[in-house]
Amino acid sequence: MHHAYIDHLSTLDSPVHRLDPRAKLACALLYCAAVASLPVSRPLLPAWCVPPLAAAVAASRLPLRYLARRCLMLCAFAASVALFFPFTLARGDVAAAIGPLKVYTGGLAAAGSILFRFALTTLAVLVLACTTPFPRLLRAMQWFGLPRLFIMVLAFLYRYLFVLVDEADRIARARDSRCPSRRGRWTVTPAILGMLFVRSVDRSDRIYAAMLSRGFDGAVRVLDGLAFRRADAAVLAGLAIYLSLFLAAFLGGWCPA
Amino acid sequence: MSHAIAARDLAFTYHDGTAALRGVSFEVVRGETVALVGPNGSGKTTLLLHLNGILRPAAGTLHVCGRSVGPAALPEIRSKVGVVFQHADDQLFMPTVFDDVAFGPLHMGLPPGEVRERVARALEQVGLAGFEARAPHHLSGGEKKVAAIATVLSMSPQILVMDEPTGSLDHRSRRRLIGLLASLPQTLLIATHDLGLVAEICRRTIILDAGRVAADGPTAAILADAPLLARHGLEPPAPPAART
Repeated sequence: MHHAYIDHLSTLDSPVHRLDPRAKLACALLYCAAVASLPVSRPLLPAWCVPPLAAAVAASRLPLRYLARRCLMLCAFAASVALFFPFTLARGDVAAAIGPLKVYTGGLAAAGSILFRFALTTLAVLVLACTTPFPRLLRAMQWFGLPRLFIMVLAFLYRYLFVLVDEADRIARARDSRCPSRRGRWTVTPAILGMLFVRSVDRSDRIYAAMLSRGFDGAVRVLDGLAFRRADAAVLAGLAIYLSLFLAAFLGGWCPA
Repeated sequence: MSHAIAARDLAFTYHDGTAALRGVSFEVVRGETVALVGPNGSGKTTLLLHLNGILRPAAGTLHVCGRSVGPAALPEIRSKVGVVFQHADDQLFMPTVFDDVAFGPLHMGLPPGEVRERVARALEQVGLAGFEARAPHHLSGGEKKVAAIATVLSMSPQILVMDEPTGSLDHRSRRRLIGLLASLPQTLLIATHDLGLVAEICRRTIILDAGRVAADGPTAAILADAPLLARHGLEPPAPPAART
């Protein structure tokens, strides 16, 4: 079985795909930090952060429908939290009353701000993930000093997630072919999960043996193969300057919205 | 010592009490291609895992490339004995083909330039040049098998040990793999149920059964002895015309 649908966009070609993963990761972190630092009381202020993201999306040539669908899916989590803000954050005037519940303007603004900023940061991370092959992203994380053990865990997760999904599919097919009733299927699910766990433990033993056979001594060594070019520096500097000017303008009170 | 492998009275018992090897003795000379055949549970995989020190014998001695297999010699022995495991997914544990093939050379302490050269050469040798950036889960079964072989060829081993190299391969991939194995200059020890493969590339065959060497001799003689094969749960390979 092929799982190309999981990371197929990262192998496309575009100016954003060609950027060094460290530059992209730094840009995404800068962007998310800037957007997250905006106050909840001004829901339209994050609109100033839209242009650099829109430019990145346009340059990446990623399918807009795909990005929108993923973004909406993830925003559902933020929405489930933001939903309570208009009723519980008693700031500003009462905009409406639904029975005993009061809707506050301050709460509405906070909900709007959180949703807007969540959507922007989620989209930024999606652009990063969809334009960078995961192994290169791990290299960038390692370069930024994330613990090697953490990187190793992520690398193994990425490598064996697909194998585990295949294994689960095979077991589920075997179950379905012998267990026609829906209720019966649910009753054997815990046994299937246990079986997956046991097989994973067995597999981990074999993988460890394969690693030892090739000289593993506790540290995974890789050649990073990364190259930071002028274009990477220019993009990173451009974003940093834009966000700095915007934040300075906001702190100086010159930002409308 | 001129033997690539010299095992004398090897014995091994798993934690659950299963005696997997019960006094196995054999020798393999440099450049030989030897098949290790036998029924399931006969101890083939256990024996292979002794050859680079993954498992340690409870009794007996084992010499590989003239060195006794022990803790002090493990780094050297593991660079000389390339083990290709039965399931390619266990062998290919890194996120990309390049990283996987480079894993061995990097852990041998080789400089980056030489690592890149070795990776390129190994992938070229197995016909996977251009697959460097591919993720293992995007490879077909046959490609995974040869990529797994490339992961050990990049270490330039003197001995190649393979566990079921043709298992679950389609006809074309199996043919391609047999061609590759026949072209390798290393000493080969191949544990397999594929007696067609054995007939084609191994001059010598060892039958292992219940943890003991049941027969050891020229492949042609062993494969022609139908009663011997039957006693050890094996079947002579079909003649070439009848093979699929």
